[in-house]
Amino acid sequence: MSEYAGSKEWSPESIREKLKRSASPGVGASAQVFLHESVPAGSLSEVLTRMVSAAEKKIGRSASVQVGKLHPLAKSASVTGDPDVIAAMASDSQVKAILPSVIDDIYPKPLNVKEV
Amino acid sequence: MSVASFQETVEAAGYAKVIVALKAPVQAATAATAGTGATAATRASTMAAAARGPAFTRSAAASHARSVAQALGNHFIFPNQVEVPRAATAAAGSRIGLSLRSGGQLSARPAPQTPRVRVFPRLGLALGYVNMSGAVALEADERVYAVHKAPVLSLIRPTNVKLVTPKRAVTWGITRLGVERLWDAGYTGKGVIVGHLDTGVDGSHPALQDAISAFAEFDMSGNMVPNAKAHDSDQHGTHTAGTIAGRTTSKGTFGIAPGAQLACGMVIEGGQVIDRILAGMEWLIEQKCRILSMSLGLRDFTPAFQAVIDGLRAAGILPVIAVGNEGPDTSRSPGNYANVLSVGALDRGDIVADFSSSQKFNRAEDPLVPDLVAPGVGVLSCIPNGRYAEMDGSSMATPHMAGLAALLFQAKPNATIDEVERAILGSCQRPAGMIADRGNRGVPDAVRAFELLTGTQLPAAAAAAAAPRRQRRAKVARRAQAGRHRSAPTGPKKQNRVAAGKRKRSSPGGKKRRAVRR
Repeated sequence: MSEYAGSKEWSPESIREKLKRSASPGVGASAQVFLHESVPAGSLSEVLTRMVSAAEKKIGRSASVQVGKLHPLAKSASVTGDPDVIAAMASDSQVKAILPSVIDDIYPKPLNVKEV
Repeated sequence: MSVASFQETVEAAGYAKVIVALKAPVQAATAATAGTGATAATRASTMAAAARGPAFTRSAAASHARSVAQALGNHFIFPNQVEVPRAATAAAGSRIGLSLRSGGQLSARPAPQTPRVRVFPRLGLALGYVNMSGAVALEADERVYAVHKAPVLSLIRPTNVKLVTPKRAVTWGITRLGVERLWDAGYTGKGVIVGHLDTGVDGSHPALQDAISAFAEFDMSGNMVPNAKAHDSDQHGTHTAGTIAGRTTSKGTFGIAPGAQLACGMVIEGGQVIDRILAGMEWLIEQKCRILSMSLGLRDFTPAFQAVIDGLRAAGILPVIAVGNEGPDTSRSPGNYANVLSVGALDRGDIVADFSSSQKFNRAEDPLVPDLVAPGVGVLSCIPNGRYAEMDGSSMATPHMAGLAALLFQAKPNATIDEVERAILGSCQRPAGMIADRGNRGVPDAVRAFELLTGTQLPAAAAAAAAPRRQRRAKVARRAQAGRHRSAPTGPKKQNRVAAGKRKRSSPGGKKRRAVRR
C-alpha cells in the first residue's frame, strides 16, 4: 500500500493475522480489497486479477485466491482463499486497504437498553 | 321590559320566561327612586340586596319569599310542554322544576308541588313563565321593580374550530433540537427518502406503518435476497429507523421526520458484513435517497470506505454516520472521515455522554470528530414486535441528524447535500461548559438550520397552519380543473420532478474535502 492504511488495528500485519485466524481448511480466508479511487471502475476485475496473480507468484502458491463480488462504487471486491496471498496483495501500490470480510464488532453497541 | 321582544316570544310560543326584580318591603321606596326603565335585572337585584344588608336573615328571606310567591303567583302560569333549549334548561332547570322526559327532550312541566314562581329572596328576584296578561299584571304590581324577559343561555361558542391530531408527548431529543417548530411550519420530511443501513427493520411495527418505501436484505456474498420482507435481526435497526421517521403512537412521538420514507438495507446481523454494507450503499443510490443514516463502523481508522463515501456524495446522498461509543480518543470508520456528518451523543444535561467517541486527526480539514453532538442518551424509539425501548449510544444520536436533514430537504428540495450539511453545522452552538474536543461544534438547532438553508425566517405557527389550507383549496381547484380538461400534471409533484431533474450533484469532498490520512 502506497499510503498509510489506517490505524494499527487495520495495518497489513494485523490483517494478515486476522485472516490467518479466520481461515478454515479448504476454504481459506475471506477479505475485502479496496483499491485507490484512481482505478477506473470499469477495470476493477482486470486490475484485481493481475494483483492476485502477482501475489500468488510472490508467495509461490498458484490458483489459491478467487475474486468474488465487485463493488464499482467502492472500488472494492471480495476475495477468498489463502490468507498469505491475500495479505501479500497489500503491497500493491493500487491497494488502499484490505479488511476481513467478517467483522464481529461492526456497530457500536447501544448502552443502557431499557424496554419501556 | 322590551315589549317588542317579549311580544315576539309570546306570539311565537304563547308565553315567555321572565325575571322579575322585586322591591323589598322595607326598601320599596328606596328602590323606587332608582328610576324606572332599569336596564338589567342584576342592577335592581344588587340594589335591593345591598339595601337589605346583613339584617335580611335566612328566616326572614324565606318568609319574604313565601309571601311574594303567594302574592304574585297568580300572575305566572304553568307552561305545558315547554320546549326549552338544552343549554338554557341545563342552567336553570333545577330551579323551575324541569324534568327529563323520555327521548332525552327536556320539558318544563310543573312537577308536583312545584310553585308557579321561584323566588330568590337574597337576590331580590323571581323567575317564572308568564303570558301577556300576566306580564301586564306584574308590571303594574307595586311589589315589582322591573320585569325582564329571561335571556336564553347558551355556550360561549369558540370562534375558530380546527380539527387536529392530539399531540402526544415528544421525546427530549425532539424538544432539544427545536424540531417541533419545523413541524408547525409543515415540514415533516414528506417526500424525502432516507437511506438506512442497519440490522434491518420491523416493517410491521405500528410506529413504522407506511414509513418504509423499500427494504433489501443482502446475503453473505452481498447479493440481494429476492422478495425479502422487512424484518430486523436485532433491535438496533428498528430503533434507529424509528428515530428517523417513526410515526406517533400511544407511546409518544419520537420520529424526527415522521413524514419521511425509509429505504432500509439489512446488512449487519453477522457474517460477511463488509461486502453487504458496500452492496447496501450501492443499492441506496438506486432508491433516490438524499441521506444515508448509518449507525455502524469499524473501530479506529481505515480509509477503506473513502471511495464509496465519495461516491455517495457524488450521487447526492449525505452520509450521516455515528462516531462510536468507545469514549475520548477513539472513533470508528467511516464516521471519522472528513467528508461525512459525524455524530456523537449528548445527554439531557447538555453534556457529551461519557461513552461518546471523539478524536483529533492529523489532517488539514475537519481534523476533529464528531462534527457535532445530538441527543443520544435515554432515546425512546420502537423495537421489534410492537415494543419500545430507551437506548444510549451515538447510534441513537445519528438518526436524529438524518431526520433533521430530511426536514431540511423538504424545506428546500433543490438544496445540495453540501448546503444542507453546512446549514446543520452552522446552526450548532456549543453549550457553556462543553469542551470542544468532545462536542466539537456543539448541538444543532433545527430552526437556525432552516433559516441558514433557506435564507428566510421560519413562518409563524399561525401563518404556517393557514398555508396547508390554502394549498388544499388550490389542490381541490386543480383537481376540478384536471377533471374537466385532463391537463398535464401541475403543482408540487411536478415541481418536485423539475427540482429532481435540476438537482445539483455535490462535490465528493463536500464541506470539508476529503482527507484520507490522519
